[in-house]
Amino acid sequence: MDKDSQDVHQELAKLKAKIQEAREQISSMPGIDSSPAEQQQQLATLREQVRTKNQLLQKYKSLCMFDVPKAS
Amino acid sequence: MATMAALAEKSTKDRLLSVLDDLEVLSRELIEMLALSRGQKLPQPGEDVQILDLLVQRDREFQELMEVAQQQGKVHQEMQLLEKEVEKRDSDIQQLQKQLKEAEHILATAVYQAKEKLKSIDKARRGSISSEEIIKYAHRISASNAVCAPLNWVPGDPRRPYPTDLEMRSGMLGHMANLPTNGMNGHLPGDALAAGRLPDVLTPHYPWQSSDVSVGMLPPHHGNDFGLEPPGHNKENEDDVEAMSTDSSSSSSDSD
Repeated sequence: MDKDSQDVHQELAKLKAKIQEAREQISSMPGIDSSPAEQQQQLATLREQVRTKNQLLQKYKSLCMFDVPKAS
Repeated sequence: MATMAALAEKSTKDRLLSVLDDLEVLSRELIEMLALSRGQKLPQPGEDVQILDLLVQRDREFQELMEVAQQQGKVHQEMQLLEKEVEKRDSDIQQLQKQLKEAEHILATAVYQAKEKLKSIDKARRGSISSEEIIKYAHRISASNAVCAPLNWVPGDPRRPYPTDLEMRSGMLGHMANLPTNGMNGHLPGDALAAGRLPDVLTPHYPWQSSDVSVGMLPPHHGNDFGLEPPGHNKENEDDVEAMSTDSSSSSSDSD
C-alpha cells in the first residue's frame, strides 16, 4: 500500500511537470494572443493598409512628368 | 450563453490554459479516486465515470483549441509578412514625400527668378534708349581722354586725365588766391611754370578778371598780413619769388 501510494505520488508529480511544460509551450506559441475573430480583423486591416499604400504610390508615380530638355 | 460569449472574446491562449488547468485537476482527482478506491468503497458510485467523461470532454476541447491555435499561427506568419510590406511602403512614401518637397522648392525658386527676370525685362523695355545716343554719350565722355590715354601719349607727357596743378592755378580759383601777391609772384616768363602759372597763351582769360582784381574788389587775402607790396609788378619781389620757386616740391600751399 505504501509503495502504491508512493508510486501514485511519483506519477502525479510527473503529470504535474508535464502539464507545467505544456503551459510554458502554450505561452510561447505565436499568434494566439487574440481570438480568431480578432485576428481575422487585424489581418483584414493590414491587407487594406497595404492596398491603400500601393494605390497611393502608384498614383504619384504615374503623374505626368516634365520633358526636361537635355543640356547640349 | 453569457459564459459562452465571454469565452468567445477570450484569446485562444487563455482558453487553452484554462482547459489545461481543468485537465490537470480532473486527472489528479481521478488518480486520487482510483488510489482510494483500492482501499475503501467509493463515497458516490459512478463518480469516477463522471470524472472520466469530463476528462474526455476537456481533452477533446483541448485538441480542437490546438487546431485553432495552429491555424492562428499560420495567419500570424502572413500578418508578419504584411507588416513588413507596410513598413516598406511607408519608407517609399517618405522617400517620395522628400523628393516632392525638394522638387517644390526648386520649382518655387525657378518661378521666383523667372518673375524677377521678367520684371527686369519690362523695366528695360520701358526705359529703352537708342544705341546711337549711347554711342554719342560714350564719345563725349572719352573725348577728354579721361578713360584712356591719348594714342600719342608717352611717359613724360605732362597731360593728365584730371585737372593738373597748373590748370587749377590758371583757373578762377587760382587767380583769386594769387590776387594780392600778384606783384610778389614772379612774372618773368621763365618762371611762369615754377610760380604755378601757365604761360599766357594757355591762361584762361575772362573779361571781368583784369581790372577788378587789381582794384581789390575781391575778398581780402591773408597774404596782406605779411606786409607785402601793393599789387603790381615789382622786380624785387620777383627775385624773392624766384628764390622761393626754385624749390622743386612747390605746391599750391606754398604760395600762401
